[in-house]
Amino acid sequence: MMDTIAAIATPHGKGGISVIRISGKDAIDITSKIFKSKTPITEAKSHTIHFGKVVDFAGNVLDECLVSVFREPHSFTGENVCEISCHGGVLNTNKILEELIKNGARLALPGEFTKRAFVNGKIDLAQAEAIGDIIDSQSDALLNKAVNQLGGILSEKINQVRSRIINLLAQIQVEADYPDEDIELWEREDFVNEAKSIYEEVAKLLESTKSGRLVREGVRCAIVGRPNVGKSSLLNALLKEDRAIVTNIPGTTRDVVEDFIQLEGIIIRLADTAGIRDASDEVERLGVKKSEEYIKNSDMCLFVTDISSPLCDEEKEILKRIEDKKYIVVLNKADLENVQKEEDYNAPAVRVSAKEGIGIPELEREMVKLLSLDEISKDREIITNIRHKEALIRAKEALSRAFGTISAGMPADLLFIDLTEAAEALGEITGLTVNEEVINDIFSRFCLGK
Amino acid sequence: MYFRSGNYDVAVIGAGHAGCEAAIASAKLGCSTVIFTINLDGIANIACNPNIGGTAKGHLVKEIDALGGVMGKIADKCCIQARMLNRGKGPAVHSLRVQIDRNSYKREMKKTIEEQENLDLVQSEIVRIEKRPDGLYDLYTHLDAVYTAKCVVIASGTYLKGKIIIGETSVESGPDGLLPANKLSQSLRDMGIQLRRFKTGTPARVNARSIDFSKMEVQLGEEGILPFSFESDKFLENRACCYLTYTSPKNHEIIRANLHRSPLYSGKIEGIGPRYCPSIEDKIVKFADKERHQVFIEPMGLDTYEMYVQGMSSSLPIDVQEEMYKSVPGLENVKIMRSAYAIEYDCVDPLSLKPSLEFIEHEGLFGAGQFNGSSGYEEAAAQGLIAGINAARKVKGLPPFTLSRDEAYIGVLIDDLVTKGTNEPYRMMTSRSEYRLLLRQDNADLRLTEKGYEIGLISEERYQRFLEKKERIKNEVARCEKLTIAPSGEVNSLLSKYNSTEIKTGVKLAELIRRPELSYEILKDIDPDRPGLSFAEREEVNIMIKYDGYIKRQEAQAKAFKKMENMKIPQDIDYEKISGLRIEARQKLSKIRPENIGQASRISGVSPADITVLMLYLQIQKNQNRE
Repeated sequence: MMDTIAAIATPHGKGGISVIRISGKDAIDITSKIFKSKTPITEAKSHTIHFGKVVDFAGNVLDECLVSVFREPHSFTGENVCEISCHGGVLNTNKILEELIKNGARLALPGEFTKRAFVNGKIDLAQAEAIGDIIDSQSDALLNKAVNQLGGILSEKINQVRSRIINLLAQIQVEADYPDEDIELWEREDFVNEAKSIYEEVAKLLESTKSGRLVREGVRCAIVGRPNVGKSSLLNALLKEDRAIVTNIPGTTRDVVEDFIQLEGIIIRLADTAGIRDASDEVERLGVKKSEEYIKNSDMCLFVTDISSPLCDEEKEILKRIEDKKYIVVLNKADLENVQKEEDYNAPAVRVSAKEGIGIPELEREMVKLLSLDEISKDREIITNIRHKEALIRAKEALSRAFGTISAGMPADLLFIDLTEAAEALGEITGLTVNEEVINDIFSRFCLGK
Repeated sequence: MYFRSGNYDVAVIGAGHAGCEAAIASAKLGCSTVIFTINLDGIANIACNPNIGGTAKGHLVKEIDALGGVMGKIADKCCIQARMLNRGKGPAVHSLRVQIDRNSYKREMKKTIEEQENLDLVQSEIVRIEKRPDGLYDLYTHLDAVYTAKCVVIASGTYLKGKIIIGETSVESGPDGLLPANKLSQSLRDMGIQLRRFKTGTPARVNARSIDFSKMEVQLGEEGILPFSFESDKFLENRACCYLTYTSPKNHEIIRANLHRSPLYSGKIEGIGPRYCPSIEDKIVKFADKERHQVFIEPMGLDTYEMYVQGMSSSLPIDVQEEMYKSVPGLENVKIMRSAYAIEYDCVDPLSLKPSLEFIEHEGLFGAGQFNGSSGYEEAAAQGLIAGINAARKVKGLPPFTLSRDEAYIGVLIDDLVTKGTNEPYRMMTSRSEYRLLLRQDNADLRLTEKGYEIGLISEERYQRFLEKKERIKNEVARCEKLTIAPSGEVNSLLSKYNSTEIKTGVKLAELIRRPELSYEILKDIDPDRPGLSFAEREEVNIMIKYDGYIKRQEAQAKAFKKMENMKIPQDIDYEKISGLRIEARQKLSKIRPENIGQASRISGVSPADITVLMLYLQIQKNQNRE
């Protein structure tokens, strides 16, 4: 068995309780040296919880704690494991950890517990990665996709494409090994067609990563409109319906304040952008610039206008700026006189009264429709993981280089280099290609104590 | 009464293609060496095809030469026809094949051995090997002489309990009527070495005077072909022709009607044959929908009318053979001089060997050639060379010499054998090499001469010449990459002559060379400042420039591979304790004891998930040791 490692398993900082995890051959012995309970835990059965006191070598009581004992192989890591639940607080928890280390435990490296679970056959690589995704999941849809991955749906799909490439490679090998039968591969239509079809399949998977990004990072939605059309009351009305609890999401702009709702399990990041007009002072100019930037990078916009007054020049200017974007026209203040109509626009439009809370569900339905969020949410073959996306990009590039070889009229056996690369890239997604960096990358996503 | 006959550093059992290379290498490296053969007239016997080289095999011969072995030079000397196979395909699969004069080849090899310092050639059958308490080996001959050696290389070919099978008849024999080695097998078993049975076969030899060549296509040799050996710049000479004909429907009929008399199908043959070298009856059963198969008629030499019928090896009874060969167009009146036969023999499971070709369990004992489960002269010679080098290095207390998969076909060959094992006589093929664009036949010297020099098989003089050649190639590639060709009437008329797009602005010469329709050679007229390079150097410059992008990508792949090879596995690792490994993987790893993660990943029955487990296990161990 491996040496004994210890780390704090709960998030850093203040909390009600903290958990310290110890794993390895001497986990129970080391813990017993600092933990005094009625029955010594060295005699405890697996899967039992014990109340007692943590003491330092001088006999000073540090804390009153609960210790859970798991005996190998029936634990998360497959080794002897103790989990000390102590009172939260940085100083206290660190002190107990220090005592463990003084008694022979070693501070665990990030992901080392999960690595051990893996080495001891408790989980496989796809599961390890999916566990990472689950820990990181900020939305229901992402969680779903991670759970699907645990079930191997994606792997199956990718492996299918990969084995078709391997099949092409086998054909190249035959050509090389049996020189007496002289047929050039690109003269064979079936070979080229199959290569094309594989390329398209990979391109399709890669295309799905666009939706994958929406699932992973959320939909960037800019609320635009001239002042006083009710942008912030619209934002509040939306938030009232579906506010999402979000701690942090990759790619979040710090410059623009975002609020979050969840539609069809997907996070929508709403930003109330500053008005677009000729700003007079430096600070305002900066704000406008940031808003423009946000709009440029957004996945969709909500154009808010006051239905009771006709479209003004400033609004027309705004519309021009978002004309290349997907957007919905929000005809706000529908409880007032209706001067504007849906038909005035080339985009979907919804009558809403943000103040009265009228039309919000309809608006949400339009938002779902605009980006097919319901389909994305249901699709089980969507790639959400960035590592997978990068591997797909490499596979696609390699395949297109292979086409370059064919169209340049280079000898067909040179295709094996790029086809091999494509197959290996796909194999990295499913674990068939073993690559140390990939493995380290997967485990480095786990923080200390995982 | 035993008679003590002599003490040697290295003893080699068998003087076929493996044994000869092993003995010569060992002797050249300064070890007193003895080589045993059952019959002095059977040295380096060309028992099957009268040719050397071919796809991937040609690569092996070039590599043997670059490392300082002898096969290439002797094949060049005995060449009667040369062809570069796969020339229409990419440079990775160009392969040299030469038809050789069989008798001259045997004679030349025998003479080479006789002339070699430190090397004794002895006609004797070794019947017993014994390891002595002092670690040396005693070798007993059939005449009760005892030889003592520090290291032993077994290169017994197809002689170990050799059995020739033709139809219903079988006879204990080595190839070509030579005596078999019937006793050594038991002695090896007594040492705890497990043996198994393989088989191979050969077609009939027929009299050229009875062949109607007018019904066949003539296969001429090619001019302008460089020899195997990098020490010569002289093109190979064509002094004979081969002929191509095909099997006929009647032919297939005869074979089908007599399958029940084939020992292969009646169960008389237990040994496993090579899939890639099937007998004609095998081909007709396995590729039933193929209407005809190619049959090449190849001369056995210049001083004989004997011809080899390539593509029609068989173990059918001789009456069926007679009928079968006569139903091939052009062979209607053929006179068979030697019948086709299958031969069964004992060999070892190469998984019991290290990459140095030393037995894992028997220090100082090495295996090479068909004894290790391979097939083919070239595969045998390559292993013989490595086994001979390593036996000598062992005697001198030096670490073993091995080649990795991205360095040489020899590396692929040996790694495949000792890591993956083989269930049939192993044949080298280009497809077995993952990095074959790097392992070309043209650059074998650039890849390996340096190593041959370090080992001590390449002379100082040859090495200096090699360094100069390398430098000239390097400089010329750099010049072509730098030189800009300006658009001119002369340039554009040359380009249009080869259907190449004309240039309007200056273009680097290398860019033009890279165009598929052009080459370094074609562009010589618009590049007047060329240095005088040899044919081989010009060819090398062309390939290096033309396939530069592909070569770089292969190099990147090889680098990733190297990384896995560099992850060493401690030899005291206990796989049984890694519970994340599947049981099959634990067993295989414990048996083969791979030296690194890369080698482990190629073991059949070890999955990528197992490798990941192993890799992380080693990482955690390292974390542990760092404390």
